[in-house]
Amino acid sequence: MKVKDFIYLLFALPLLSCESVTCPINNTVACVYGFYASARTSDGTFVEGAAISIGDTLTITAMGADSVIANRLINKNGVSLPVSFYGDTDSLMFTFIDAQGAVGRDTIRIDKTNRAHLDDPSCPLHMWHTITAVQSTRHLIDTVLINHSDINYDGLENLQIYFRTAQ
Amino acid sequence: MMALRTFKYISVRLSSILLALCLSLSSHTVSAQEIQFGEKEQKSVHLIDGIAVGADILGFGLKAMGSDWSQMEVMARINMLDKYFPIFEMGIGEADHEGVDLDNHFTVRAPYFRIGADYNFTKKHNGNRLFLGLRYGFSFFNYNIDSPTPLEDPIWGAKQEVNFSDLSGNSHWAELVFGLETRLWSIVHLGWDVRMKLRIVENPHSIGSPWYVPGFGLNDTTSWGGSFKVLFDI
Repeated sequence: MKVKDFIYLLFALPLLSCESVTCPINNTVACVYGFYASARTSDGTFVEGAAISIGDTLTITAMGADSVIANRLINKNGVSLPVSFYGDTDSLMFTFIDAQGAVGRDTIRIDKTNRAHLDDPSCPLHMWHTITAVQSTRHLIDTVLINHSDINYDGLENLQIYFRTAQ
Repeated sequence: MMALRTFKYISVRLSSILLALCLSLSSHTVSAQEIQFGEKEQKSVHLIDGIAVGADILGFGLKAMGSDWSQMEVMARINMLDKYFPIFEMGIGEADHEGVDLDNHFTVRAPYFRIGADYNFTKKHNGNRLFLGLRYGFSFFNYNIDSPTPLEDPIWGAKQEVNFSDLSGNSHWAELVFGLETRLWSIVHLGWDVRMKLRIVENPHSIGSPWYVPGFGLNDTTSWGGSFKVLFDI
């Protein structure tokens, strides 16, 4: 009986560590932008404002890829946009069209580093990023600030876009 | 995703059933041994009552069966009063695993070490022992992740090969050990144990945690394991 028990356990023990695959449910990697109002004091000092919704129709194009990555957004207070897997810099063109059909454009340039991330061999490989710098033109946008530099699954707001608003 | 959930459910259920089977067999084995060996001749004990060396056969068996992971392990221990058994274990853990539904490929081969002690609960000094023990284990390792399918950017279009080599990591853990052992003849002992492993700290590479940690098993905050060992008194 003793030998039989040992044989049973010889086969049972390795199976006690059966694999369970736990891929994250929310695994979309995107750069999260928030829209904010801004103001300038008489001496030109930047003043952060409250979160706002953009009333204009907003279309965002990935320059270099010539792909529209957000199309005709209206009344949005933020947007989540894809990030290039391997580029050191992403340039995005924001096109605003108001109710009268007037068009305004701004370009945001994001410098970043890229790294692969794998939770488990049974989960898809993703690219994560770290924002190192951000610049923009200043037609409708006043300033872009880095809120969280790491772009991954966490959904935190990465960039805050401060728009010029009426004084 | 549905397939993954189903696989996870089946795995958890199977683990529960096997654990129950294992525990029932454990109690059965104890009673069998008591009957079979209860009348053996007892010996006097000393503070240092001997040294034993041995190997875990289970790891070799897993490797022979072509398991995705296996660990080949040897150990040395001191017998103190036939009650306390300080023990040192070391081995080589290796894994060669491909993802379910995906062709991501993980490999590692590295040494691991454990140090700890067992306490023998049996009163008779006849070579049959019932152990409860603790271990501290650690491993420093390099692992590899690759895939034959390049990772392509769906918008910007660029693609790169997936081949990450020598990703360094380390892991430290504790183990609670329950085991049985019997003296087969003369200097030869045969035993098995079940181990609950608790991760203390893990320092993986930033690309991702290893699928398998040498000496610990499949990487998680906890893990179950065991050994089936042959020991020789020297």
